[in-house]
Amino acid sequence: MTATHAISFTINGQPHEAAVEPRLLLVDYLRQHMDLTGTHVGCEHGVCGACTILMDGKPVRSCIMLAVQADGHELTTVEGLAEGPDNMHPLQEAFWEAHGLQCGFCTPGFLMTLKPYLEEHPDANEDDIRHAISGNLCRCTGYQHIVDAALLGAKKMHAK
Amino acid sequence: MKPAPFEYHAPLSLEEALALKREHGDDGKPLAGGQSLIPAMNFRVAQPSILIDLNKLEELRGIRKKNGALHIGAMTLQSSTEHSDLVAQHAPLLHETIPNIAHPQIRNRGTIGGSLAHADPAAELPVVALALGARFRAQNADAERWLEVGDFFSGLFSVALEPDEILVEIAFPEMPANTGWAFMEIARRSGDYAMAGVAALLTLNDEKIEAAKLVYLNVGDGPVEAMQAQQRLQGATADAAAFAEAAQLAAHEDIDPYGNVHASPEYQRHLVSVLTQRALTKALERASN
Amino acid sequence: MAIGQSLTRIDAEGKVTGRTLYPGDINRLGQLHAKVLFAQRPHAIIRRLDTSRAEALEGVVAIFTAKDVPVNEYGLILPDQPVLCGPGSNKAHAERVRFVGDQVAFIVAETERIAAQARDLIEVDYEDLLVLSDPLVAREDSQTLLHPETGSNVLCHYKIRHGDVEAAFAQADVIVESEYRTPAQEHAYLAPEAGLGYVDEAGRITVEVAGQWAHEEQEAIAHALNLPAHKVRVIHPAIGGAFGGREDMSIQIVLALAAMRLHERGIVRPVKIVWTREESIIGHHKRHPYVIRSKWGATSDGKIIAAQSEVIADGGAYAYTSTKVLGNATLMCTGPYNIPNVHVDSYAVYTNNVPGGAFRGFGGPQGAFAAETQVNKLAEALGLDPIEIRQRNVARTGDETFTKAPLPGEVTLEQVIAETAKAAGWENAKTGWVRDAGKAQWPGDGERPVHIKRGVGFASGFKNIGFSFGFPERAWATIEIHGKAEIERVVLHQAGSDVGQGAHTVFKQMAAEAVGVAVDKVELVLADTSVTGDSGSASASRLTFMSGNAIRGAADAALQKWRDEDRPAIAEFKYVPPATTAFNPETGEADPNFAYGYVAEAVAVEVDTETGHVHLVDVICADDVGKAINPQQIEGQVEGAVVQAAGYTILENFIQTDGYVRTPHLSNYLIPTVLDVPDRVQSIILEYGDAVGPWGAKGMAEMPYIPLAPAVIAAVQDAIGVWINDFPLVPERVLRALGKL
Repeated sequence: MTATHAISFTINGQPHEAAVEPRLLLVDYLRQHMDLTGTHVGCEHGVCGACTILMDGKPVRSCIMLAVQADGHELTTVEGLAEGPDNMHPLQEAFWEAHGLQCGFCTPGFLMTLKPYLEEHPDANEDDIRHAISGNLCRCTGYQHIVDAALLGAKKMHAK
Repeated sequence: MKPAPFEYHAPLSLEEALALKREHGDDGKPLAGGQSLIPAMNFRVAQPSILIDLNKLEELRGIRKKNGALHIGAMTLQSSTEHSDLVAQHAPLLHETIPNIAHPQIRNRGTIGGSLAHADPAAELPVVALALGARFRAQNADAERWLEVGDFFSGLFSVALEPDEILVEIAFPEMPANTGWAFMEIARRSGDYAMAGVAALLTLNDEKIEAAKLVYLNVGDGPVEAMQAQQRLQGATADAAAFAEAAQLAAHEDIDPYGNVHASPEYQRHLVSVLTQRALTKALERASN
Repeated sequence: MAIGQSLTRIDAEGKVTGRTLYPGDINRLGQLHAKVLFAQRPHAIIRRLDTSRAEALEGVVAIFTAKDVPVNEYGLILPDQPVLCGPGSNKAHAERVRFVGDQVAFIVAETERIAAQARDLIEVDYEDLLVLSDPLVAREDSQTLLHPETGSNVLCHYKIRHGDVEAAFAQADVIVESEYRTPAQEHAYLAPEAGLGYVDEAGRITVEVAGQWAHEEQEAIAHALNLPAHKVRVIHPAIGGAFGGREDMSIQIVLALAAMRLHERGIVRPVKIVWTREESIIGHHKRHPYVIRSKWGATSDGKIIAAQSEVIADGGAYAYTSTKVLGNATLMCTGPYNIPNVHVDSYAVYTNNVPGGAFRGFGGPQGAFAAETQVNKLAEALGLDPIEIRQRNVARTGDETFTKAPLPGEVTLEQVIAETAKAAGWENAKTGWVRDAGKAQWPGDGERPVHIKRGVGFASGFKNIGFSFGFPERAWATIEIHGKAEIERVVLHQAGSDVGQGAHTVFKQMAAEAVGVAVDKVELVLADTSVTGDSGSASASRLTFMSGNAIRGAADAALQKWRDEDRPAIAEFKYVPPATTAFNPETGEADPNFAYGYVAEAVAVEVDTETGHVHLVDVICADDVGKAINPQQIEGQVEGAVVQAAGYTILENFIQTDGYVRTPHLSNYLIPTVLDVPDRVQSIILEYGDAVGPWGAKGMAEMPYIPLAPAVIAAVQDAIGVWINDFPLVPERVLRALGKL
């Protein structure tokens, strides 16, 4: 068995230390060792976007990152979007209200992709949003309601 | 599937990284963005025994203009390059190309050097490098050297780095005056590996073409320069007829595509013909402005 | 009124916060991990199966093979599939593997990694057999039989004999004859198969898994394990998409088998399995590819007088639901039209390809592709407008189809076609329906480079709601009304699965409406066979209709009890719709369905005549849903169905060569991204009311799928002047049609 490596990183604002085997994928670490199962696995090679999380505020595919690579970084998963257990991030509210999900499996990946994008681009139009989410697959919705939810989310995010 | 076991190092300095590379040679695989390597490892198509993670080497990141070229650190993120004003200004061909690479999330981890050293024949950056005449700085524990692009790509997924070398920097020379450029690719979906793609440069002298570069992706073992097409264009008047002939040569004489699950070799040739004409037309427009 | 409200999804909060647990997210204390050994070859006999080296690996707990399965068979319609392939079971020919996704062993270990290592240590000696990958060849081959006991590779043959087509062809002024080929399609739900098997506190073999019909899974497990049904429990947690792809077994029986056998050995630990995407793609069924040879005749007044079809479905290795899909395709291959002479021979054929099974539309898209394209070609041949020809032939209320049974209820296809056509710029002028492309507002204009050609196409369709051809159809619901003087809360027990379509939200609305309380007073007890009665599957666009009527019946009965001071008032109700019958084997006479949905679409495409790319630009879809229980969810279903159908028609390309799957990943099997979908999908929700449906509601989830492919083909023909008779419209196919390759 290969040696484990000590890593420390922040997850959803909380500091975290661990010793991990190098070949453990970041998505598997989050799902199996931290019980953060909101990040999903859809394709195992970075094409579907269901595993998208934020690293230092930027969306990355956690299924093609090693857990050891989290060392020294700030990670955010969908569980860390809301400010607390009783309220939701305005983008989450928007997806709910605008029917931006059906089975919901792809939803965390979309949320993590859109949050930083809409923070940076408050005036994003439909076309901008489509390009921003072009790397996330959804099989249920046909995307139209996701785009609507994103537009509503941008409004809510910047109303605060 | 999950990756096979491996030994992992995350050096904190280039010196440390080069010492590791000296120690392990070809067994020590550099890990850059991982956006190509880790998927391959997930499917066990790649099973490196030792990974040398370069992501902590800030000294390998950065974009600067120097001596008429744009110098980009090998570990510079594709997304940094995408949003760089320096790149937009001094390497517009590169600027046009980057958004074609996969998706934003991939570009947030993928690096310029990583993509070039991986040398996937379907990748975009190698054709840009070849078109611009990029130069590659490689270092080992003792010394550094510069490689010309013609020597760098050495075959399918192969580059001419020695076992103890790491690619540290790439210099993209500025285009000569009166040069127009275009990068285009055609995929089944945007963001997918393209079925064919081209980087085109056209340097004009009045109405005549002084020099032309046509470099293609996914039609050979690496970036493929269309020698006969380029020759046909040299000295010719820049017009649709010349472009059509160049397209014909590029599609049928200069390339030998393998085909894949999405495109037969015949179709790839057809795309090359279409892309050549479209790209040359665009490059001409830009050269004339 | 709860009905008609676009109530937001009741499960949205959990899904947007990541708290919702899909089967792969569920972990139980002490769980073991499993992997499946797949055959990975399309046709062979297992001569030797040795698990000893694998079993000796430290951390391996058990390896199950065919000999461990009490009744080694499964099949929703016909039990022709072994649960595990290999020697030593009571199933004839179970030692054969017949497609790459056949399961040979189920390995249980302490970790997934060890299970995978052990899997790779299992030794199997295969004797390869001839691979039949073309249903036309398999149909004629009487030597190489996939199921030797059947004597033929033809699983099923339907005949429709109505009138005299030969005489009619002699009368016809135009005849259109073509061969159509439709592709296989992968469901590509984002959540690959995953689940857990364990023994619950009541001693029941329990499986927690994403499926479409909890009670059917319970029955299949009970059958294979030789247990009474009440000793088996199936629970559906959140489901990450289905579209028909979870209608048959994948991991349910093997998980239950492992739980049971381990328990017998004194090992009381749950077993968890998570499939990779590749395992999912080779391991579960696909949409059937079809070859449809059509010859239709019409007279110059625009009346279609004869339709002849030969229909061949590639059923793949096992029956799955091929007979029902074929029945649908047979019904739909001549369209919803009054054609006095119809002659159809349809066949489902076994091959060594991945089995064909349920996928949204269920034979309808294939049948409609042929039917609607034939109509569009006849229109062209006659110089008639495509709307006009339809309105001259479409079935109306009371009309019989070739099955000699009248279509049930009100047939609103004429109105649906009219609404779609008007929105797309058609006018019903004095001389008939006509469209002036220059004047039409839709699809709007814009400048295009000269090599991009635009076209508009139209198609209509119909699709059954509910199970067909005599398949037992029923749904149970239980309503509890609690309170003292006033109703304080209502509990609905309802097993219908929410696979993403929003069924649970709609159930709540319907229960609230039926009892007469606010929606937030309703609680749901959901798909768990131990506490909910059988509602049937989430398929055939049936849950709103079937479960809705069950809910109404239960609510009425509970309210009666409530009024009689029986409190809490609890009532169980089983809704059974009007009976249906199977095809007469010689004539095809039948009363096949109790309800239909009617739909029409107008689409606009752009074709890049240099590269062959087809882009679907705009879609108008009108659907008679009877009554829109939740309009926002209906829109979501329309958009989702249109995009899946667009993928089916243009982008997705499931490639099998000699029984091997060449596209087992989402990087080579390409489903639409947001940039590949129509710029706009307009849904026109029509509510003409169904006499039998709850509050007049019907179903609609499959309807928008049905006409999309033929509408696109017609639009492409409008754009480039060429009829393409097969798809997907990958760029090469379009270029070849243009003569450029």
